This record gives sequence, structure tokens and C-alpha cells, in this order.
Amino acid sequence: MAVKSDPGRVSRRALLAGGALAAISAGCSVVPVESPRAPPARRRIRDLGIGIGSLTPGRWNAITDVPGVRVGHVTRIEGEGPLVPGRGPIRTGVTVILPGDDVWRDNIPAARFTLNGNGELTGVSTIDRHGLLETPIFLTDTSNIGRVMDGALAWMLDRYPEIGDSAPVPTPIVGETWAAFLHDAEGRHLTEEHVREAISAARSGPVEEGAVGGGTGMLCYEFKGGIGTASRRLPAAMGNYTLGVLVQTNHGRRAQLRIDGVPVGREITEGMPYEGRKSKSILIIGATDAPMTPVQLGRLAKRMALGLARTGAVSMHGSGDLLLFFSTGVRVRRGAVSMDVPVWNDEHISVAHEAAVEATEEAILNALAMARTMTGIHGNTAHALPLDRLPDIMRKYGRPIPGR
Amino acid sequence: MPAERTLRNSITDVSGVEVAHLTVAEGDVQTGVTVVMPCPPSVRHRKFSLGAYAAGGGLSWTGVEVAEDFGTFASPIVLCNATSVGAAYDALITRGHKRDPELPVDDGWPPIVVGIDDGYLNDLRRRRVKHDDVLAACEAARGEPPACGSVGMGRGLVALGCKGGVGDASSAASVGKDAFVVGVLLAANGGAPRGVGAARVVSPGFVAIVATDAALFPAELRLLGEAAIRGIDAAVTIGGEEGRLALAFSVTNTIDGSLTAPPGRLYEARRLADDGLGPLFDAAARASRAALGKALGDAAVVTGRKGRTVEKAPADVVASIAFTGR
Repeated sequence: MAVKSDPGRVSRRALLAGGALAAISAGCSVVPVESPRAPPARRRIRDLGIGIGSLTPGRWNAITDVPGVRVGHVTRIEGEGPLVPGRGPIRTGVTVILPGDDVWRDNIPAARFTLNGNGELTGVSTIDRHGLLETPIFLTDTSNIGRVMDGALAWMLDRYPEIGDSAPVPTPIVGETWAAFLHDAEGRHLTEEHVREAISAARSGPVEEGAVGGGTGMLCYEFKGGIGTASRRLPAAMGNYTLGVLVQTNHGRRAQLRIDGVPVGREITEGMPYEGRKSKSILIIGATDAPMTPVQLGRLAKRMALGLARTGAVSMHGSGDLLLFFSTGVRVRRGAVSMDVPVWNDEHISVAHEAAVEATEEAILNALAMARTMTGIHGNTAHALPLDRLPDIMRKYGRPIPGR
Repeated sequence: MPAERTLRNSITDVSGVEVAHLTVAEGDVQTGVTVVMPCPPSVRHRKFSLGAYAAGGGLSWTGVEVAEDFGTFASPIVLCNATSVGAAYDALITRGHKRDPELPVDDGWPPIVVGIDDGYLNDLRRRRVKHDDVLAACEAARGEPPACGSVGMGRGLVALGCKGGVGDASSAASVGKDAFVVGVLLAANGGAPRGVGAARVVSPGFVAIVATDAALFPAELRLLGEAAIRGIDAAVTIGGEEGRLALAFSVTNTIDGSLTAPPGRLYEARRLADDGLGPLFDAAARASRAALGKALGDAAVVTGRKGRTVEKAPADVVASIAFTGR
């Protein structure tokens, strides 16, 4: 069974059998996760000279440009060689988005959209029935959903002694994409402690992208992918609001990838990963401080799917493409009987649609641009998008990068 | 589908459906797990059609996105308390990996876990129910009529101001010349007797698992679930904010082996005319009410946290709800 550079596809069952590679790896000393040569530096798509859309990004060009939003990652990269279910190699993590300081006491409006349902996003009944988000948002790999739900709930039980006593028990919002190309999924390898760590690590400011947090073991158009983010300012005349998007990519086929309209994926056909039948997915989380209603946020959630489409995806059957959008511009205090809320004028929502599309498109490209090549179970390798090839390809299709 | 059949007034009257309860009765911890399997574990790579109906406040369940977008499921349905959802999910992931490491959408994934708040009698914060408990419950599932009342998920439930619990029942229905059966397993938590107010549990929720051998598609199954909920609504008083959830599935029109089927292979399904479905909806309402009657009627008194004791419902309350199911 050839594994290294064979462009043919190999079933996951064959990969798990792993016999030949186990024999090769057993004789190796510690093998670095990346190539021993210093990998080329990763840069965000905008820093490569490729501008997406026409609106202006926020200060960090990240979901954290929405005031009060914090992001934290815990990343586990340990071990290499053949898969030993329950032991490793480990390529996973969790990313947490804290929409505010206390979203359980101060719920915020939210809505969701299922573009293609082959995925899991837990805890959505509160969003569906009340249009409210009451827990942080956690992104991880498929097999760790239960672990992360448990860890998130443990954190909430500690913080709020009334939960499970005089107050109802919330269901944490946990989303997943499938990491088993690189990661010992059956082993899971996340605990309650990791979830607490991610929450403690949550920060404002620039967001780490690529193979980190929930995106550690993930792909993107069959390159290495993971976490990406971007933001856009809404026009000052509308109130100086910001809209940001964070993605956990894992979706797409190589030939589908488009960068600013250019079919880059068709031009780079080497470095293809193997995969089983399991298709992959994308989680897209949007945020704004513009005061939107749940109905309006549902519309914005749908627009993020158009941003995804700009990067070439067709939302395949096996892809869990799940989208969620929240607004920090309205707070619904738990227990308040009634309150005054501002409501955005629908006639002025189109620019938010545009911002949602652009920020999603750019966030996905950032995940691609920032992720490094990674080797995982059985020596399976997901190759980083070769950034040095972009100038020639973009020029070939009549969209030269200025100055390159 | 045989025209004559002896029904045992159980959800297990629907061919292949299996149930297990795991009960935890340990002082302040009065809780449990109830598992409903759509088929015996020997059946592999079979997708079932599913329709979900939800009313009132949020009852949380997992596997929502596959259910709503594909209309299918292929997982045990686990009812557990609201702080054990993560543990139950993790257990179903363990079980799923053992069945197929790819966790395919036609065999074990995504897990369907419904969380119910039994915190009036149960110390939820202790999170006593663990991964291994849920695995054991899945292993114990059988096609025999299960016990009812203060067992499994029903251990700590409070309904109509009295001891609540789980109950199951079935009802026959004919559509044209075909005879079908609708089975319901109900977890009853909340509500009040008709015309009477009652002490409220913190987060009430009625959860009905509805099974049938009628050839129904997801949209029709949603209506079947709605009928089961309306059957309960007609029997008791339920506040608008109280949660009601029905997950309804059919054991026919299943999709087998879809991930390995050759391109171009079409499946054969049967469709019943919409205007003939009335008897099935009536059967769902009857079975649901009968299940509620059995849940209340069999519910042993339980003393739980904070020394709270909840007595069994009086005979006249049980009688006013119960149906023969025929």
C-alpha cells in the first residue's frame, strides 16, 4: 500500500490497517511534524497583496474587532507514526468564542443556517425557539463533541451555582468538523481541563489562525486548513459598527478552490491528501455589534454561505456546512420581564450582507494562507497552500498581484 | 404488514424497536437513562426517516442538523438528564467508533441525545450519570415491552404535580387495506391536570419518541409527532412555555447501504396518500395518551434531593388520561 506521494485515493479502512507504514515508522526516531527544512513563512491573504471585496477591514481584521468578542484556542499536537487508537497521534483542539463577558446572564440575539446538514452544532434549540445565545461557542473535532459539551457545562456549573438548582441547564453550543485524516479520533484526547484552558486563554486582539484550536487537524480544499478570520467596518454614517467572521474549515475538493475568482485549485494538483468516504465540513460563525434581530441575523447567516461559495465550494452532501450569526448590539438580561431594544432598518441591511460575504471569503482564505503543512496518523500529510505559487497563477488568469 | 397482530401496548410492537432503562436511585440522585433503538444492533448501515416536532420552550437534542436537512437518523435515541448530555454523546461516539471508525451517517452518527431536566428530585449538578452508564444502557436494549413509571429517565420526573415518569404504548391504525401500528415512548415532566394549577418543575418537558411501521416520509413523520403531542395537550394543561418534543420515525422506507451503493441505484419507497393518514395521526394521539397514563399509573413514589417526596398521581387523574389504545 503506497502512502507517500501516490495521487490515487486510498480508503480509510486501508489507512487504519496501516500495516506497511507501521513497519516503516517503527524504525524511525522522533520525526518532526513539519519538514526539517524551515517552512516558508505564512502570511494572511491581504498581506500577500490579494485584496478581497471593497469594504474596509477592522483593526485586526478578525472577529475580535467586534467589541467584547474574545477567542481562545487549545491545541494538541503530540506523537507521530502509525495510528494506535486511544493513544495517538493527536492532532486536535478546541476553539472557543466568547461573545461577551457573561452571555448566560446577558443573552444576545442569534440565528443559524444549515447550508448542508452533515454536521453537528449542539444546543441550537434556544437559538431556534427564542433567538438567543446563552453560552459561548465551541469548535472542535467530531469525536470530541461530548467531551467539549461536558467541559463547557462543568465551567458553567462552577460559574453559576443556580444552574441545575433553581435555573434551567443550558446546552453548550459545540460544533465539529472531522479530523480523522490526521488525528486519532477514536481516542478523542480532549478533557474538561482543555475546555477550561481555552476559555481562560480567550483574548481580544489578533486571532491565531491555521492549524490551531479546533482547526488543528483540519483541511481546506484538500490543502491544510483550520481557523481563519476577517472583519469589515460598516459605514460610519450607520453607526460605526463592525462585522466579523471566524471559520473552522475542513471542506472542499482541490479543483474547486478559487482565490478572488482565480481557479487556483485547478493549477496546483500535487500534494493531495488521502481520505476515506467521510467528507468534510465548515463551521462559519459571524458576529456584529450592529443591533440586529434574530430574523435579520438569520439573513446574515445565509449570506455567509455566499462568501463560502466565492472560494469555490459547492457544499457537498458529506460536508457539514453550518452557520451561526450573533449580535452583541442587544443584550437580553436573564429574568428581565421586558426591555426596550433597538431594531435595525431592513432597508439598510444590504451593506451588512456585503460585509458578511467578504469577511467569510477572506476568513477562509486566511485559514488556507496561515496553515502550515502537517503530518499526522500513519504519516498522512496535509500540505499547506504553496503561497509562492500564487503570483504566477493570479497573473496567468489576468488578476496579477500588485508588486509581485 | 399482517392484518391481525397481537399488540402488547408497547413501542416495541413496532418491528425491530428496542428499549432499555438504566435507573439510578441513590439518595439525592434520582435519575436514569432510557434508550430507544430503531433496530437491533445486528442491523448495519440502515438510515431511518425522521421527523421532529417541537413546541413551547426549548427541549434540547443533538443530531438536529442531519435530521432537518436529510430527514434521517441512524443512532440510538438516548433520553438522559440535562447535565448528562455530554457524557451520553461521548458514549454514543465510543459505540459508533466500535461499529465503524468512519462514523458514517448511516450507522451511529450523529448521536441523538435528548436532555430532560429532572432537577426537582435529582441532584443534577452532581452529574452522576457517566459514559459507561449510557454504554451499558445501550447494551441492555431489548425488543420486549419495558417497565414504566419511575424507571430509567422517568426516575426523577414530576408530571401534573405528581410523580411523573416514562411510559410506552401502542395503537393500531388501518390505512386502506393495510394495518399499521404506532408506538410511543413518553417521558412526562411538567404540566398540570386539566383545569388545575400545579407546582412547576424548573424546566418542564414532555418528550415523545414515536415509532411506526407505516411508510411515512419526514414531513409526514413531523405531523405524526405533532399528533402525539396534541394528544397529550388534549389530556392535560401544559403552559405555552413548557417544552414538548416529538421525534417520530418509520421502520419502513429505510435506506440501506447508501454509502456503498453503486451510482445510479435507486431505492424503492412506498408513499401513502396524504388524505388517508388521519387514522395514523389518531393512533399517535391515542398511544401518546396511553403512554402518559402508564407513566403516571406505574410511577412509584420517589424521595429525592432536599428531602422532596413526590407521590403517585391519584387514580382519578390517571383514569382521566389513560386510553385503552385501541
